[in-house]
Amino acid sequence: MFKHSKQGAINVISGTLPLSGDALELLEGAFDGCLSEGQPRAVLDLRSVPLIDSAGLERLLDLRDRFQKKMGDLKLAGANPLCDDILSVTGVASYFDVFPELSQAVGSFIE
Amino acid sequence: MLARSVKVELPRRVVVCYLLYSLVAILWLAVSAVFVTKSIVVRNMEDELLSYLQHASTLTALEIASQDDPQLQTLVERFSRERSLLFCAFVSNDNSYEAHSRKRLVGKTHDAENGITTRHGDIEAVRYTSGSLKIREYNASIHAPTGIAGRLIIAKAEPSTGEMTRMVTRHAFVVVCCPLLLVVLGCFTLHRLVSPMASVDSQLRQAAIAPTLADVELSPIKSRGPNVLGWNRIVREFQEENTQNSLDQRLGDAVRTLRQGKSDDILNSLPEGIAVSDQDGIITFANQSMAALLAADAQVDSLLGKSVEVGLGLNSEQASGLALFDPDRFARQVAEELERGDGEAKQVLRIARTPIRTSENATCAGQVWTVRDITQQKLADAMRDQFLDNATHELRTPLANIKAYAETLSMGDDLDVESQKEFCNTINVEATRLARFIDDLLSVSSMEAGSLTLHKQGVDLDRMFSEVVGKIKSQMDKKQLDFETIFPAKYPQTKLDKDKVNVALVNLLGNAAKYTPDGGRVRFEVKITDREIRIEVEDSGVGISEEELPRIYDKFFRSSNPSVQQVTGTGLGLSMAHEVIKLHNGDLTVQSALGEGTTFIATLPLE
Repeated sequence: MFKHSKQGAINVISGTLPLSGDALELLEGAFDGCLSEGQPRAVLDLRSVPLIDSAGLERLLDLRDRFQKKMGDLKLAGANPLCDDILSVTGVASYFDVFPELSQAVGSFIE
Repeated sequence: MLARSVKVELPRRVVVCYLLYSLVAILWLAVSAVFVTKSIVVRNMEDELLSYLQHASTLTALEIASQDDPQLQTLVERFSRERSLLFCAFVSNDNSYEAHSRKRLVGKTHDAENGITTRHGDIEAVRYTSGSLKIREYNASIHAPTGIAGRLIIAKAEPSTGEMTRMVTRHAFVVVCCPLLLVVLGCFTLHRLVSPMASVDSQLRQAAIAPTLADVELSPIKSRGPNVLGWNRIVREFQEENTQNSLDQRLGDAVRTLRQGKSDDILNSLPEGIAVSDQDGIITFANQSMAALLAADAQVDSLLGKSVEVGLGLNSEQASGLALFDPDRFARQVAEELERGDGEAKQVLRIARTPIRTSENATCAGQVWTVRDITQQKLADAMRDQFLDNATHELRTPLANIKAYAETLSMGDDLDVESQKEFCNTINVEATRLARFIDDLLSVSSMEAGSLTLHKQGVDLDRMFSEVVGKIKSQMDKKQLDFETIFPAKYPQTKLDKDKVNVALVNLLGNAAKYTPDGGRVRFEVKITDREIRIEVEDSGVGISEEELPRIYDKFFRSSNPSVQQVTGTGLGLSMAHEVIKLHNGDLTVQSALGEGTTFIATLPLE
């Protein structure tokens, strides 16, 4: 399950499912709300996400493209060591701002 | 006119001219031939008649000399027949026709005709016209042994122009058709010779009407000849120069497009919305961020052509109240903050307007608009301001108490031991309050930095909840609240960060105690399911309004409800509790009705 909440004006999507298989549709659905905003800004809270597979990485990049098309920004936060390694080794981390903590990610939107 | 004449190609025009002049020449020659032929025929006829008259005169003289009864009538008729004469007659000395090829005239008087008279030796010639005929008449004297016996006259009509034409027509093929065939042959030859020039002529005419030479497409000619070679050379050099010019132009266009495209890419990459409006305030350019911020469909095209007010979703009344749209300030730079939307969709935009001034013209050529979403920044600023207010209050109050009691203790020599003990106790309570506040600040600082981490360990839940109740019990008693605790009979083993959960629950119960009026009710219930611990804290306090519910977990947030404002607090407790529960992968939800009470439900997964 993925949940959508807000910290100030920033959308936070958090979940406990691995980013793979059917869970990706749930992830996509959780982002629909914030992608309808004019210039969407969101953080994907990965604290409780145990794993990201290739389809999950691809979906993350798709989401990033959708945010960029609307001139918004999607950041990642709280990835566990395994997810952090997956993001780094595949180079996907270079396409995102990745923060160790959610609060840091949310705070980074304050310019 | 030039365009009209272009329709007839040069070879055709040359051939037509050639044919026209040739046909006129042939006609002239034909007519001349008729007249020249006639002249020759008449001359020949004259010579022939003169010769024949001499011959006939000799025969007539012999007839007169040799015969007693000369047969002159037979003789003149014979002469007339032999030469197809108009007539032949012998006129005696008394000027009467003694013999005549027209017998009815024999014996009649010969009347001399009026006409042009010439002499050829003894022969007299008269040329005269009778009716439509032009007649040549010759007469010669006939000499007999006794003298002149009379005159012999012969006459013949000249051939007419019509007869001459008919004569010439019989030779028409030679006279007219051969030259005509030669003229046609000449046409083909001429057309072939001039054809290459047709292309040149056509291209030169295009050059004459084209606005610039660059628009003219000159092409070489596929033919031979020095003039063609010369033309092809000119065309090649022209094309090379044109190609070079075209390359330069295309290169220039490409560079301009590249620069323009690069500028667009740069502007479209900026997170700030940028738009340009003309002097009438109509948007002529907008980047993608501007469209994302303002346009409902996030399409740049939907903003173009609209006024800035409409783009911002303002009506004329709202716009007139903003300095951004004040006509008196159009020549100056203006920045303003604009709030849009309500609730969670509330947006704070910082809009700046700068007039565009060109170097040539000092007047304002339009406006550049920049729009930035500062909602998060404004929320953070508001929370920080609130924190400073609260922190100042929270620090000042215990410090003031500590200072006052410490001064009293130090100056009051006659204080009894009980009073001293009471004062020291108060100082201790206030110091504890200060310490707790500083702990909260440190926790908040950790949360801000993201360094708030858990130290999970096996926890005796029964003992933990008892400790929580013990810490909060005095507050409940102080306000005489009906504090109900409902705990399960048995707890499972689980791992939690006991201290942090303890702090979270104390905060939840502390809020319930603080914001519930004296004599109110607070329920603290713990339920255990297969997967989680469910903790409910219910009170009959002031409650939270529906508008403020989404913000209760924001750091430093405090309700605007006066009942809440009366009570001291930092606005950090709920934020910390929420953060701690979330760090445990749990959830904290709230149900509240203003004036009726609030229920917080915390769930912590069992490990």
